Amino acid sequence: MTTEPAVNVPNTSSPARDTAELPAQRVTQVSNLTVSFATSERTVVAVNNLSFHVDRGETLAIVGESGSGKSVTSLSLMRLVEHGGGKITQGSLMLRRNSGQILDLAKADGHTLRGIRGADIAMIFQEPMTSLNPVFTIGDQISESIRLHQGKDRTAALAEALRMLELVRIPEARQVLQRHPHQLSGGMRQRAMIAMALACRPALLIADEPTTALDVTIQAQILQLIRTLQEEMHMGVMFITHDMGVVAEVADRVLVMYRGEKVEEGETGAIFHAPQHRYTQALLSAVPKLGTMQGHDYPAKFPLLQMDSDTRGQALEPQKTVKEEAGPVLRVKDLITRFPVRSGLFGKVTKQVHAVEKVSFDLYPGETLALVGESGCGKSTTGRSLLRLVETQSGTIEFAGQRIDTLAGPALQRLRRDIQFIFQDPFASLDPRVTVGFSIMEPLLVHKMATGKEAQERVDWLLEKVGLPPEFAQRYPHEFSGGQRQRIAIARALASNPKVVIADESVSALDVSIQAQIVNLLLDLQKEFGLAFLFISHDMAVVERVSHRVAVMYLGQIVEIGPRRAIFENPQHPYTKKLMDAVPVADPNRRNRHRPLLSDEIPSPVRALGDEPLLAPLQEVGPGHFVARHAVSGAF
Amino acid sequence: MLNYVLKRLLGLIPTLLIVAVLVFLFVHLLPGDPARLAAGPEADEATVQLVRQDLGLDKPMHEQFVTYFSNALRGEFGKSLRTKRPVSEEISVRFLPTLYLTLASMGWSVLFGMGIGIVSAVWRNRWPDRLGMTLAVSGISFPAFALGMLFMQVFSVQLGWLPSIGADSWKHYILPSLTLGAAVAAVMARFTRASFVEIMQEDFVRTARAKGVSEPVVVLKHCLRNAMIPVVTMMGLQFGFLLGGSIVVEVVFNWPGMGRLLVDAVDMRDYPIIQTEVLLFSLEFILINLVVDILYAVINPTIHYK
Amino acid sequence: MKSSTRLLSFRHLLIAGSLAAASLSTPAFAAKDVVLAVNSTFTTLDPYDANDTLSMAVTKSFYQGLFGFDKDLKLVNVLADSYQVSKDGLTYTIKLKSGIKFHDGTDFNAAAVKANFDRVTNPDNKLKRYTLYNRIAKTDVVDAHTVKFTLKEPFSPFINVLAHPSGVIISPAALQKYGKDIAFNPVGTGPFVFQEWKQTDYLKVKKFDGYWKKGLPKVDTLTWKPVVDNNTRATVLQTGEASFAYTLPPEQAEQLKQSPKVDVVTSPSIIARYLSMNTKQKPFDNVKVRQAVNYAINKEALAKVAFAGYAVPAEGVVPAGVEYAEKFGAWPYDPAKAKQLLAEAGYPNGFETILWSAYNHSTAQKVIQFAQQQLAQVGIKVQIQALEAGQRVEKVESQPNPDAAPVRMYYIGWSSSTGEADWALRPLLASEAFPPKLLNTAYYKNDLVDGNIAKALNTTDTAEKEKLYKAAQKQIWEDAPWAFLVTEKLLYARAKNLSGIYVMPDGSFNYDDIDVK
Repeated sequence: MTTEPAVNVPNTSSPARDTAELPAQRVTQVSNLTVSFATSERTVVAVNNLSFHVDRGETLAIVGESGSGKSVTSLSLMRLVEHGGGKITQGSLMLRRNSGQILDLAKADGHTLRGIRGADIAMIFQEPMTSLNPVFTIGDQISESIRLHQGKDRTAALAEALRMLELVRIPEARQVLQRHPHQLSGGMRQRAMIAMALACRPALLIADEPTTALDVTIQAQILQLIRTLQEEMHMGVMFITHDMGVVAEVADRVLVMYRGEKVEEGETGAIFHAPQHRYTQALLSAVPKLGTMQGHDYPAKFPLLQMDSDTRGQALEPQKTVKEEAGPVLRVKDLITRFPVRSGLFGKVTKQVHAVEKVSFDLYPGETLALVGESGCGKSTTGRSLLRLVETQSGTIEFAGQRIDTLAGPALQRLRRDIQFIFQDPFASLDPRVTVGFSIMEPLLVHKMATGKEAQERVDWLLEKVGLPPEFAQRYPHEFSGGQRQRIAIARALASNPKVVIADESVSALDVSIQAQIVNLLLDLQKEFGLAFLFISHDMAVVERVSHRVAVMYLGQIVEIGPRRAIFENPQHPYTKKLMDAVPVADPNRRNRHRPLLSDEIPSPVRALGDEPLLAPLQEVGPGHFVARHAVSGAF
Repeated sequence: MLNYVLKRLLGLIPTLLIVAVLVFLFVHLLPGDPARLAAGPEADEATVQLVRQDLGLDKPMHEQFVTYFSNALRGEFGKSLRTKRPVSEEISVRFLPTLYLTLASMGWSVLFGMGIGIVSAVWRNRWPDRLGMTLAVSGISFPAFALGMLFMQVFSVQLGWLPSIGADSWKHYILPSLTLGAAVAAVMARFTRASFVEIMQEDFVRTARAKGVSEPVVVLKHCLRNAMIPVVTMMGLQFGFLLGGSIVVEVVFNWPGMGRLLVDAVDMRDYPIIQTEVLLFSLEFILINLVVDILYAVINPTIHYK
Repeated sequence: MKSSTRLLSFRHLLIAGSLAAASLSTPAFAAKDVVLAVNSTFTTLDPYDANDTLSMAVTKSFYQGLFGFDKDLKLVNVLADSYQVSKDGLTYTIKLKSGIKFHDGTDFNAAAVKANFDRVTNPDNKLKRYTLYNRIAKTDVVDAHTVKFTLKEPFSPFINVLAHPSGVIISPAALQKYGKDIAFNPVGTGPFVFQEWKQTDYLKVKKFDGYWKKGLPKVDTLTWKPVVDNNTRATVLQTGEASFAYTLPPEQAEQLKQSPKVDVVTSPSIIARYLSMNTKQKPFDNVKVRQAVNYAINKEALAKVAFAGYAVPAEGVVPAGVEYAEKFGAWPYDPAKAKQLLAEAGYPNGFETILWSAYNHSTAQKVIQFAQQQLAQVGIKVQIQALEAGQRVEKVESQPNPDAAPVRMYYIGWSSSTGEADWALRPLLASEAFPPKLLNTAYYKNDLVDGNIAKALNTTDTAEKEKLYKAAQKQIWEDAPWAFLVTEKLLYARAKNLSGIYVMPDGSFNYDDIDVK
């Protein structure tokens, strides 16, 4: 094993018998792979007869929705699929090791495989939060594979780990070496994961949804980093994702999987511009693309392409639902929510989390106002503050002209009837022990709006409205898919006839096609009932689709608010611009390959007691378009 | 950390005060006149009155409370009503045997409980798991006194390997501590297994395997310390169980410890002994849990006590 | 062969030599140590402040009284040589044995006797046995070996009181020296010297070389070990960790009988078991009801079921073995007669009542369950409850008003610790003994009985006493304030190589001749 940062150029000096088996530039060649999972009742074929290859310096993206078998494919290559109960029943997994040796992973023994894992093939996973061992330091975890595969002693391995951390552009790498995962942000953790994966300079890097859990600006950094390192080390990269934007950004070739099978494979440009298979076409149609709403003032439904129907390319139907003449249904002024941080012998408050800082906005009937921003910007806390789920420090909230921030008891209950919540994870918010029908009926009974047969009828009607057959009322949450559960959660939110619905990342956890269906459903419901939505999301492309107006939050403050078209087509605040820029565009022609490699973080909203943040006043720059004029506008 | 420990120790004071008041009230609400109990069934009323005066039980309750409390604050806990020896003396000779017994039991429980738990988790739903969990279920459902009798019959009477009663040498500790530890070991085994099964499905375990780490190292290095986190918390709670369980086991093995003293004291309504012993048990329980919390911080770097 | 024998004997010699060198003060043969397992912890080592038979039995290791009982509960002289009673029954003059020394080397004499009885009769000392001795007006030293007791009133069983296990002679020098702490530093005239008392663990005594009975004791040390758990007590006997065990539950007896190392011994006791009925309350105020209860219970079966055969049906009010006990023969089991008596008393369909037990151990539970079933067959519906010690004191023994006492049927037992009829009748059946004073839980009051008990105390004439007690017991038997159940048998076990230790009918121990082979 070499310790030099030697670049593994396509191997010209490899023995002739190898080249005979595998083309010289080829890192891995998978042929006829079939993987099945045996449960007590039946055997499920997760991957069926799959063949593909990855060359040096090349990025192959494997796309598909949940359950399409893309992650099983990657785990099979690592031969880790057996630990999850899977079994490779057919096929060969040829790999060219760093040493030039070529072997079939499907037939390799445990010892050989352990020598390959982490050395010749490395993997990065979706959740940097959970993929690092919380009890060991970053240094320990990176150096472990170095010691394992390169036989270095502790000191040397740590020195190498430090070099790797610097390579992935982690600031203050020496300190990070000593830290535990929880002391790092999500982006830093993912960098550390990458450092760990690349520590032994693998020939093949498998990246399984490496940026899905990250904020867009951080995602952009990580994608850039992987690309840069790939060029430096000349690795083959297998990139597994469901996000077509990311695919367009990184992939040389694309493999589309559907229900365990390959449905289409080809050059990225070809796939995006001339998708052959029906499924690929459907998938692409569902992808929210930033900029598709350019020139339109109002939200519009996704033009959905079904696998089994032929309706294609419906015209954008503008949703003109706002009733400004009625006056705002919700009016928030100077809302402040802070959380105390206690420390010391007597639990004195020494610091505060400035979650929401002087936030003001109006929401009109039939309007969708999107709150966007990255994790920790205070958008969710704002939503919760409205329903008094968290205590606010100051500011006023008016609902239909009435102060609600001072309500208590029954009046607060009535308010909660008029303002409803839809959460990100419907499974966690539905009681698994009662039927969904009862879950939907519950708000009716609690608020004494209907009882008995009347309530039952309303449940049926609500289910129909969200596109589910009424007989589903008798079933339990676990019997439903994620999309169906979210529909049920929406039905429950609508049960009490609310005026305002706060949708907190309600579609973020769903596959794109489902996400598009739910967004369309929300738009239909808004049109029918004149609902006002406060749409909290980090996904700029979805926000562009659904909202009338957009408020951008940063460090607890609204830095820019205005009509959606103005914000997206003419962003004024530097942070808004950065946010837009970071969104991957699902169009390989617009890929931005040569962005500067950044490693900055979202600053912390925690401040010492008395250290009040500087709030810049909002200035009007267009009709209804306000921007905070920060003194140092380039600080973002 | 030091701050945290100091804070916890300060917090101990009000807890103990509350326990002291509650125990005093509770003990005095128990039915039965301790003077008459102490005087015995053959005593006539005059004798009972003499005994009452002798024990200081003729004073009104609030006066007794004030005396008890002011004495307790000065570290004096009075004299046993039954033996008339100072409570501190009565308890001090029995404190260490009981402490050692519970510690030894904890040792067994950790050894067996975690061992069985890990084996069961690694070979989940295979025969080692079935065997281990069968043992664990038996351990929980087998009452301590019956297990003690069984051990005694086999190892003392039939085989003659180990002594049955007393606390004079390390050999005397084996049977009682095994008996006492069995139920806790069983709980620990099930808990460790559950914790381990969960940990083994964590992403970082997959990460470790993806690094090429061998399976024993995955289990013993990457999983164990994580799985220990809930197990350690449970250990603290189980200590209370051990303190309580020691009462039964001490009777069976004639252990010269605090458990038997407490049984005798409750029988005779020996107020000072009951009060002091309950206080001591509370103190012990709180201190052990403090140690567990500190241990917790050592194992789990995400915890920071301030 | 030959050389090996020589080698062996040479080794023997070596061992013997080293042993002799190591223990000059003790005999060269192996020390005889005896471990005795008993059922409960000793509360005190001061017999005057003890209320349990066990504590007093154990203190006999180092203490002796003027009089005592032999293993069959016959009165014998111990430190006393002889005694004389005055005609009026008020003064007792007692001659003491001479040449006896306490463990601390001081002489046993009349002054020592006076010191002890002055101590217990002084209420300021607050000793638990105060009432037993408070009839003594004064104690006088006549000469070095003669002592004279003057009583406040005639009290015929006075010598029995002096023979009570609490009435021991403690070294006055030690009393002076230790004061209240004498309980932790006992100094007496007995065969053993106190060595160590580890409260829960053991009490150890060693042979007293200056013991006045020559040739005794035959063993070097005794270790009394409280082993509270029944099964464990049987186990230590089997493992050889103890060579004597008392008490022994009947269930363990069968198993221990199989053991080749152990003898299981049964002996008669004076422990009476009975159900008292509150004669102040309906329906027990009717003698026919009380007799019906006696007819309704099959005592033979009860002895078999609850006591595993280690009991015999009661044949009188006071068990045989107690002085002046009268035998009437077991009360017949006759449920038909019981029903008839109930009908005559106006309860043809029986009635409902409650039955408490003074103990909550398993034998007592079996007794009250058995009684419940038997009484149900004649129509008496009984709710049973086994009382814990504190509940017992609260619900029964401390009740201030005899007319409002909640007790109805009550299962309890008694043994007369002075070995004669007075202490078997007066605390339980005299009208002066209603709780909370003493334990007349039947609230039985009969003038003849009260009178005879009082008269018997005043007379020193044995024949007269016998007549008085006989009449009283006959009256009680007919009035049936109790259901007379059984007299227990004692059950204990000792290693086959142990001899000379007996459990006396009152549950105390006699171990003057204890020896191991």
